[in-house]
Parts: sequence; structure tokens; C-alpha cells
Amino acid sequence: MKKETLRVLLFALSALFAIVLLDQLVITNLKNSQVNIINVALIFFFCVSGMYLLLGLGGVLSLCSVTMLGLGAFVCGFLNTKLNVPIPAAMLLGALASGVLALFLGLLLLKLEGPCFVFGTIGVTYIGQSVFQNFAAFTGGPNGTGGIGKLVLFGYTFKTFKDWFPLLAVFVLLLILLLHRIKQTTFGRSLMAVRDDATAAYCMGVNVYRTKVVVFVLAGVLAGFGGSLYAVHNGTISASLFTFNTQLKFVIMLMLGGVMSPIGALFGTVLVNYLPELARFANSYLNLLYGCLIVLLMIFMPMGLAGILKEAVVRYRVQRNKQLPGDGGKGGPSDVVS
Amino acid sequence: MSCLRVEEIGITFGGLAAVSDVSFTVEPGEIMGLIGPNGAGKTTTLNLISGLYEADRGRVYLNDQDVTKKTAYERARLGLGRTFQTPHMLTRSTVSDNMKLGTDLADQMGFLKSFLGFKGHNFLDEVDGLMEIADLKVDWKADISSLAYGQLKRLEIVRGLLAHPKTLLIDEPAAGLNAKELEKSVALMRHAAREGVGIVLIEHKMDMIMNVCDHIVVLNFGKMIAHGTPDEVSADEAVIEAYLGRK
Ligand SMILES: Nc1ncnc2c1ncn2[C@@H]1O[C@H](COP(=O)(O)OP(=O)(O)O)[C@@H](O)[C@H]1O
Ligand SMILES: [Mg+2]
Repeated sequence: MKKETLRVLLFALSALFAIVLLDQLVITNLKNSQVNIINVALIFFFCVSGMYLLLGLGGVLSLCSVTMLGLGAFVCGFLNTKLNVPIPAAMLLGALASGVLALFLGLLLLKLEGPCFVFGTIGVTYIGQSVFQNFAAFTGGPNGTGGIGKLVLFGYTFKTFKDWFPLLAVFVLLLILLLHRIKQTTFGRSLMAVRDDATAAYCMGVNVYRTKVVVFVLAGVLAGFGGSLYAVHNGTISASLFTFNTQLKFVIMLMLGGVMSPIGALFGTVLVNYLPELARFANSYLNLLYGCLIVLLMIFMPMGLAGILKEAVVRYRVQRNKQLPGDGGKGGPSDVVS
Repeated sequence: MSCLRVEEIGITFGGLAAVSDVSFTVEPGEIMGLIGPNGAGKTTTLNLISGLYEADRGRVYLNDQDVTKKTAYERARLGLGRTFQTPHMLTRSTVSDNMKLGTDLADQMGFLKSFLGFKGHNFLDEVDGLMEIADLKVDWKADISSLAYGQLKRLEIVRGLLAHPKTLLIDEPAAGLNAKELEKSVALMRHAAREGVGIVLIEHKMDMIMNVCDHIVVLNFGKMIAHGTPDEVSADEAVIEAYLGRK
């Protein structure tokens, strides 16, 4: 327990230090458009981390996170521009709206098994896409919503993309700590049981349906909050972002970094978002690049970058101890009680 | 008060009466053997008791409470544990997460409370004790997939016991175990029975069944053909013909 707290504290402190270094040494020297890409990647991570909870921990493949992102963004934008709700409140309400939608959809769809559920969520994404495009009174239709106010926190106004970076980075750090914590709770273990063996889960007292609904709502709230952040960060939102195409990019982000690792997923998110910038010379071949990336990923590293890293660590440990994990009795239960 | 009572339970799969009219009672601290040839309906009976299958007929009582209409996880929370013919573990998780699924069930703490850092009961001594009885030495941080089959079979019983069940259903614990490992499994069951857990034990190894069971139910083609002490059952004509006679 003490050891674990210390490790988390150490991680958080070094991450904060890294954020300061990044901000002072790297971000300041980048072009605004480049900082924008990085910020948006950090915002998208809210969506991707929900997918990590769903798929990585719970084994639930949901393809409608982008709808939750969009709803959060449009609710936040609508409340602020049309009803003059202050930005922080509008952001929280955006997250709440997505949570409520997720609760409704979760109760409805999570009764379905396997492919039926996945197809159900694809349907939701197409409905969302159409609603965002056509409900002009709410979303601004094809023109989108513009003129969303600026975020003011403790008297400080977040004006430029460079102002935003440290805030978003700290949010992402908190998010990663949250994901790490969830994995160690009853809820996290229930999720893993649902993912690995629903029969075992049932017989160990886990209400499988309820667990899935709770994680679906949690992912919805995270994506909705991401949407609110996106709306305020960019000042304008357009329905053309919240499409099935974008949803599939989220899947690539998650799979590239590693579906079982939050930090891996963060790397994947930043990498995939920055890819167009890195591969500017080949912009017309971007889809070719994505396609090859997915195929190679699935063949050579189904667990993503983090999976490769974990394998290497295990191999190193085995070599060092000259024994197979599980054969030795070194780590007792007291080592891992948290 | 009995910890498990089954009354005329039955289920039919597409015209095949896999289990029909099976009734028995298990008292706390008792080990009841459930035997019969392959396909006799033993595992199906466990599935009916644990709620994985919905019974067509009959009733199931846990601690005199009617649970026939309750789901599998509700029955588990009322103190019904079980293991499986082939172990059902969290295949992509660590030994630790697998075992804590058991202590979680014992604590039955809500998600929010757990998230806020509330601790469950201290299970360290208990785990050490059970692992010693089971003669298991495993690295708790190891992936469960790195363990051998014989270790998994015993770990599954340990996980069941960590949940503090009042009744434990055990399906073929000897399958795939060597003689020494088997001895340890028996030790685990005896330990649990001494602590007052009522046990239903499915097994093919006759010497083991005759040795550890207080009473035995014999199934054949889904029907109970005998019920009694080991001596009574092994002297029963129908049993000898249907089951023991084939050996
Ligand atoms: N889910 C199911 N669907 C159809 N038939 C089943 C099912 N489960 C078990 N059975 C049938 O019920 C009978 C009893 O099976 P089982 O209980 O597994 O036997 P055993 O005594 O060997 O454990 C078998 O004929 C089996 O094929
Ligand atoms: Mg069987």
C-alpha cells in the first residue's frame, strides 16, 4: 500500500516535471498549428481513454465514442452561445449530456452480445452524424457552431493554443492516474472478469450487465468532457468531425499504443494525430499509410507498442531469474495488496 | 438449517431430459458426492444450482431461502461458490487479480467505496494458509496464463474459498492432477468442510469419493438412481449395474 502510493506519487511528480520541460523547451518553439494538433490529440485522448476502459479492461468494443464526443461539444457550444451559460458550467453540462445519452444507449444495447452490440453502436454513430449535420437549431447545421467563449480559470484566460497546452497536459495526467486507479478497484476487477470470462464473472458475484453499463456511462462522460474541451479550445465546431471515419481513427490510436495500457494509448493518440504533419510529403497517400499501419499492427503487434514493451520486460525478467514467471514464490500476496 | 436444498429439479434440452427429478440436501460441513457415468447430468445439475441454467422444473434453496428465480451472481452473493470442470480464470489477468475476485465477493463492496480507497477485510493470513494447504507457490504478479493446469485447478478452489462461501460446488477437481496434487485438493476440501462449508463434489475417482464423502447421490441418464452413505451406495444393485459394474 505505502509502496504503491509512493510509486504513483513519484510518477505524478516526474510527469509534472516532464510537462514543464515540454512546455518550456518544445511547445514554445513549435508553430501554432503544430501545438493545435498536439492539443487536439490530448483532447481526443479523453475519448480514447474511454475506449481503453471499454475494450482494454471490459472487452466491450463500442464504435460510438465519437457521438459522445460530438454531443459534449455541441451541448457545450449551444449552451454557451445561445443561452449564455458560463463556459465551465457549459463544459460540465456537455459531459453530463453525453453521460445521460450513454446511460440510455447502454441500457438498451448492452443486452446484445458480440457483433450485434458492435453493429448497434455503428448505427448510433450514423444517427449522430446525421443529427449533428441537420439539426441546425441545435448544432448550426452545415455551418457548425462558432463564437464559443474563452475559458477563464482563477482569473487566467486561456487564449492561445500555447496557453492551453499545460492545462490539457495536466488533465491528461489526472486522467491516466484515474485509469490506473480504476484498474485496482473492485470495479476494475469486475471489468476484467467480464472481459476474460463472463461465466466466471457471474459465478463470482459480478453483475455483468450492470458493470458494462457503468463503464459505458463512464466512457460517455469522458468523451463528452473531451467534446466540451474541444469546443472551447477551438472556439468553433463543425459536424464534419464527428463521423464514423473519425471513430475508426480513434480505434487506430488505441490499437497502435496498446489496448491494455493507458500510457500506450496516449502515445498512440498523439502519434496518429501527428502523422499527417510528419508525413506532409505524402499527404495524398495518408489513407494508404493508415491502411498499411493497421494491417501491419494486427499482424506483428496486436497488443500495440505497449504490448511489445511488456513482452521485452517479461523476457528480461525471465532471463535474469532463469525461471518462468509463476514458478517462483518470490512475490507474495502482500506485495500487491492495494 | 441446510445450506443447500434441491427439490425435484429438472431441465430438458431439445427433448433430452438432461436432469429430471433430482432432489438432495447438503448440511453445513458436509461433503456430498455427485457421481454417475459421463453425460449423466452432473455438470448440468451444478449449472442449475448455480443459476447458469434456468430450471424447467423444481426449486433450489440456499440456507432455506428460495433462490430458484435468482440470477447466478445473486446466488454467488448469497454464499454459493463453484469451480468448473475446466478452470474458468481471468485468462488475461494476473494471479493477484484472479484471487482478489474471490475476496471482492466476500467483501461485496460497492464500486464507489472501493474507488475512494476503502479497504476490504485483511485476507493475507487466510491466503497464506490456503496456499499452504494447497501446496501452491506462485508469484502473485505473474500472468495466470503462465501457470500449469494442476495449479489452476487448485487455485480455483482457493479462489472459491476466499469468497467465504457457505456452499461450494466442485466439478471434477482431480481431472489432470497427479496423485500428490490430488491429495492437496482433498486437503483443501476437508479444510473447508471443517470450517462449516457444505460441499458438492463431482468426481470420477471412486476411491477419492468413497473416502471423503459423507453421502453420495448417483445419477444416470439425468435421474437419481441411488442416494446414501458410501457403503450403502457401493452395495446398491442399480449403481453396480449402471456405473461401478462397468469398471
Ligand atoms: N447447454 C446444453 N445444451 C444441450 N445439451 C446439453 C447442454 N448441457 C448439457 N447437455 C447435455 O446434457 C447431458 C448431461 O451433460 P453433463 O451434465 O455435462 O454430464 P456430466 O454428468 O458428464 O457432467 C449430456 O447429454 C449433454 O450433452
Ligand atoms: Mg461434467
